Amino acid sequence: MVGMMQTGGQIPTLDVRGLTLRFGSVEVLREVTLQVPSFGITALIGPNGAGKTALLNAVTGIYRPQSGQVLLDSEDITGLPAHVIAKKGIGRSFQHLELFQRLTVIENLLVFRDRHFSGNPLAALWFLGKTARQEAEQRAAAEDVIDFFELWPYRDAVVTGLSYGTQKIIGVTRAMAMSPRLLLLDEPASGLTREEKENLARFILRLRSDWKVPILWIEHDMDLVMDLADRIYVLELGHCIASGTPSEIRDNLEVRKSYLGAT
Amino acid sequence: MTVLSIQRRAMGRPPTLHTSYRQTFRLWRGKEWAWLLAGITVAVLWPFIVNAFWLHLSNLALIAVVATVGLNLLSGNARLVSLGQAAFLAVGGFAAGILGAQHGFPFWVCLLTAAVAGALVGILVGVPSLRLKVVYVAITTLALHFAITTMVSIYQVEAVRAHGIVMPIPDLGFVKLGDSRPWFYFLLVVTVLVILAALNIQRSYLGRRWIAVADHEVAARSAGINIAGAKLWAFAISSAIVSLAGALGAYYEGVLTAETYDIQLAIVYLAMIIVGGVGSVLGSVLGAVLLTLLPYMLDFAMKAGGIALSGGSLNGIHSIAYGALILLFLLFEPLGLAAIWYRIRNAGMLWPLKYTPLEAKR
Repeated sequence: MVGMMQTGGQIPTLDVRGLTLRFGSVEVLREVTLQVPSFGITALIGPNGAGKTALLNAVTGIYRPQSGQVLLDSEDITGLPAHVIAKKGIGRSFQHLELFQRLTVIENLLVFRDRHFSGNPLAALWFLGKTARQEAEQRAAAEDVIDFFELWPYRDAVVTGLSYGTQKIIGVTRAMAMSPRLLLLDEPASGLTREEKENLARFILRLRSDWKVPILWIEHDMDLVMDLADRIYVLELGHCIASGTPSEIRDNLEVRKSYLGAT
Repeated sequence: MTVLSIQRRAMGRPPTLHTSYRQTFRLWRGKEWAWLLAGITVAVLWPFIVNAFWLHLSNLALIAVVATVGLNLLSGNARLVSLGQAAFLAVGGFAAGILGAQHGFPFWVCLLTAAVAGALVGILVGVPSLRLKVVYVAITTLALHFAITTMVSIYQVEAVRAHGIVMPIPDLGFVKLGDSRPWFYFLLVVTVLVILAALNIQRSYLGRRWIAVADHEVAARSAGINIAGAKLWAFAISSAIVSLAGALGAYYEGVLTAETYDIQLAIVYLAMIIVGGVGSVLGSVLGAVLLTLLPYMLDFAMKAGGIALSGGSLNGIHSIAYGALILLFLLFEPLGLAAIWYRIRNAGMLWPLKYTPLEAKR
């Protein structure tokens, strides 16, 4: 069974309790229990089709779980509409570059800052005081994220024309642009070159140490995960089969059998 | 807060130095005084330069610009392809006709009511469109087209028989819009306001929301955007503007008939945004002006060439011309006249250098 992770008595930022998700008769997630503490990097690994992305979708409200609970800072967010959950401050990057292709990089970031914009849409028609002030403020906030991820050369480029690796980083940048209280990363390293991966690792570590945002990170690159993660959950066939520190996971027989490959 | 912003968006300008974040989204760069002055001068003198026929065409073009700007917000920015353009124009026209001509309400009230009525009908047709994609939205709006045109035809037969509703001459209080000249100035002011509103939408969170929702719904939801809300606002604002144009058109023509609002009108408006530039305000203006003038230019050319056609065959020629123009632009410049203009402008700004900004996909 899965052992409860000790989080130093603090309330975990994300607390998933017995989450079950079915598509018809297919059980995608079965009684998944997982906690993301308020500090550090929590990795989620598992073979393809284990339900890692489905878990993110169930947490963020894209899918509706049949049973179980999702608590964000002990607030029950189970079954809320996706945009309501996102507004509560869950930033998310996607596996397959779900960027807004017609927008520039900075506009992609500003869309993810949408929850920081307020006011009557009719006021936007005339761009008076508040609308203009808000645009400038939010642009400044988005520029901070651009600075952090070193995307200066690309800020005004339409994303379609950028390289795969850059677009992938923009996906992470965009999620951080939200100023989230929880960051969900869905395989940010897949398809990146060695150099781009090292860059990504640097950013993830700095997100942990400088921005202190709790991260739930799906990843297939075991070297990366073992080096960076503070704790790891292993998902197989929709069920959590193990959790623990990287060294515990490396030594876990079941995990080695099902995923890492026995050596 | 100094930032060197290298602007390289395709339809944008060559690299620009910004020294504050406000400069990144301003419309007015503070250097366009000459252009503004020239524009105002030409606009003021225009009714005295051109003859009555061209002034009439200018007015028609201005009304078409308003309607096209409205349509382009919905079909270009939010990618909700609407075949309901004629229906929304009819809503505006008949709202004005019923209130202004049949019940004697003042001009301003009628314009405002037409816009509100358009917004409501837009929301009404927007609701079933919430879960639908491009082609299916086109079909729901097509259904709206036939529903509305049937309704206004029945109303017209019941209320005034076949002649159509005779519109009153609008009274602004200080001037009556009886003649083409005051109409031109009035329409120009309305058009400029609508264009400004559209540009403001595009540079604000509202316009970004629409594009985000159209480009990737799941990502937009993950950004905290209420998809239904965004789409309904797009329908409401766009339809309000189109219906406003419908009301203006009805007052300008002086007679309101249901037959004006046929499906060909809806398609001509789609042609305007394709030829002008999908999602571009400048494109809306260029497309609307060009396609409003096109049939007259064709007639002119044929007359000059000694070809005499009438009635049905003349209509056929116009349709062929619209079709050919759409086809040519889809094949050779899908971004429309706006993209052509940006290329020319950028080349001019960069000359004698040959550096080209990245292609923009907007």
